[in-house]
Amino acid sequence: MAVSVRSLEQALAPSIPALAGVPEPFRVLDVDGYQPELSAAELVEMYRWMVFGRQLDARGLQLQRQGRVGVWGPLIGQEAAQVGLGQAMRSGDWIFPSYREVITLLMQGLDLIDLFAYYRGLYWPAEPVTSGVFPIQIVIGDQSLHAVGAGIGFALQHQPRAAVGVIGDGATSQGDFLEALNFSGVFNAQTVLFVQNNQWAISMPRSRQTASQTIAQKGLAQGVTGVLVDGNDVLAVHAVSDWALQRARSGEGPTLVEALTYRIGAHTTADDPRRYQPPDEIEHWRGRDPLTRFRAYLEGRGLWDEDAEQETAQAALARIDAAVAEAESRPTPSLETYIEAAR
Amino acid sequence: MAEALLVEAINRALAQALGDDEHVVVMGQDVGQLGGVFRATDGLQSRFGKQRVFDTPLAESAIVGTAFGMALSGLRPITEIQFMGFMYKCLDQLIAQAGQIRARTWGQTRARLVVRTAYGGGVRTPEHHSDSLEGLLMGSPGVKVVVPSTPIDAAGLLLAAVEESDPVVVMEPIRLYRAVREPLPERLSPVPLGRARVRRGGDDVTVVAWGAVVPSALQAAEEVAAEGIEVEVIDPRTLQPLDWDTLSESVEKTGRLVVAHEAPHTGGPGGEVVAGIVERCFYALRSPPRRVAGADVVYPPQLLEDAYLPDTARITAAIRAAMED
Repeated sequence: MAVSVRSLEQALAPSIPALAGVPEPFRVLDVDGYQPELSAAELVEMYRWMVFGRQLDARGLQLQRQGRVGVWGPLIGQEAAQVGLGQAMRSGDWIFPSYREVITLLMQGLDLIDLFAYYRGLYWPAEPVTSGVFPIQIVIGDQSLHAVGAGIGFALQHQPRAAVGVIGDGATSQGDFLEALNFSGVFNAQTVLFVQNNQWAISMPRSRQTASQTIAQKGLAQGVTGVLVDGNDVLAVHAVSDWALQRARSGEGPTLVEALTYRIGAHTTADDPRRYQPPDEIEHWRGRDPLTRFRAYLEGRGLWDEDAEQETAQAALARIDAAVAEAESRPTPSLETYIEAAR
Repeated sequence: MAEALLVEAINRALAQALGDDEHVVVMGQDVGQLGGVFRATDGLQSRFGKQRVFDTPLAESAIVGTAFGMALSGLRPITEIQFMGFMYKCLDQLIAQAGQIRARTWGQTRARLVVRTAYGGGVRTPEHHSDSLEGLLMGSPGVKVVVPSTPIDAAGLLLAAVEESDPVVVMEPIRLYRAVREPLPERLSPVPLGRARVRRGGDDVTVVAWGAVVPSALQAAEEVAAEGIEVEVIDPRTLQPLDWDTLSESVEKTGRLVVAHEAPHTGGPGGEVVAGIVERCFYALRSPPRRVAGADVVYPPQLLEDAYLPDTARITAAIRAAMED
């Protein structure tokens, strides 16, 4: 006698893995609960970096329109994710980035002049191994494996440092990302895979990128701890990154961090998001601006005001413009120089 | 000196590299307790420990991609990809990442990484196990390629590859793993990359062959010697970079060139050798250069492979044709 489908499903239920529940993004701002152990100076420093990043992004867009840089990948709206991670990284940690976390790279010591030299079209002039800032990755997700490999290398050489691979939500569909996650677990790599989930991979929404409800839960199946964090809450991102990096440095295990944020701007200056991105969705996320949220927190603690805002923005612009001028005054090397280096 | 098979020479070289430099690690599928599917890593894990010689999950791209990250962290990984036909899965990490990091950082960053892989046909393997992809790799700047045909060269090229600053692919001819043997010294010496080896001297025709085709080329040379044709057989040993000086010197002398390889004909390495020689030795040429290569088809099924592979008969025919022109 044939088993009915319904009874088979009932019988199978204990054999089908299921999440206990969909994870909620970890938050610090606007909620009662965990309070970070950050000094007033550190808090202000973090906000200054966020303002710097917003100014950098605006200037980067202008420079691209003027033909002074090749392509610019906007970061507006994602400052908290980048600064929270950057604040948690230490000297000696390594980062293998994509093209949308330049604030973190600058916080980790990348020279702003080198960054503009790169964007002008000269490959990566900074020295990666000593600085720990590796070249911006263009092939989506490839750097996941490099971060895991470096994290395995640190473990094998007993070095208390961490390697961070930063990827976007689109990269999590790549085989290399999933292989990296798997290898990180098998080898207990001293690695943090940090996903800036800005919910769009050029024109593909996150919902079409994976049937998984969150990216963080992808760690579960690989035996790797995953965490979902509000990527527009700089204090939450910092807390999670700090925790994950400590775990990595001490060999307690790799972590997959999903920082849930939103891409307010275009994918790059070569993109036209009006063709696919719903305006009301953008407006909704503009209302969750990470700068506005953190500024309100700082003002509530008496650490910030409008004068400080103006002063910081102007100082940022001055520093950016000086770096642009410096980068533009660098002589262009000859093809022979390049061939000599590359051969 | 004890005689060693080619695969045993590789094992000896790996052991020497592991013993000489604590940064060297050997990694890949089944390289640990099993000792590799061809036993090239036999006994290394028990001798050097699981931190130095270890198995990886089954993912070629991750093997090369993580090895690249490990190389950046100061280690010197020697990876094994079981069959070259599986290397398509890791070509992005090998070529676009490890192979390009030096150019992309103005020479500041180097990927010291070796990829050992078994290549070539003739041993009745199923599909995807017999590919010869040297043509693809030679057209990929940033990656070096070596192909040994003797035990001493297999050991020496591997030891030199470990010392290189760029990723090196060591193509190990499956057919020769247990088919050639020679005495090995106690202490193995590196064979510098980019230096060809003249396997047989001759004034009439230059035959360039590598890997498992070398024994066929030497056999062909013996056969035509009976007819009074003196063949110079050159094993480049390194395909990227090629030793143009040795190749040119030979063709300047003989005026005739035959290149034999297992890789496909069109866009293959033979075309590059011929083009380079024509550029350098055009006025010395006495007959059109010839290629003896795999046909322009997907590698054939096991029972047809003997007819496909460039064997002694085909090389002999090409030599005679070169003499008759």
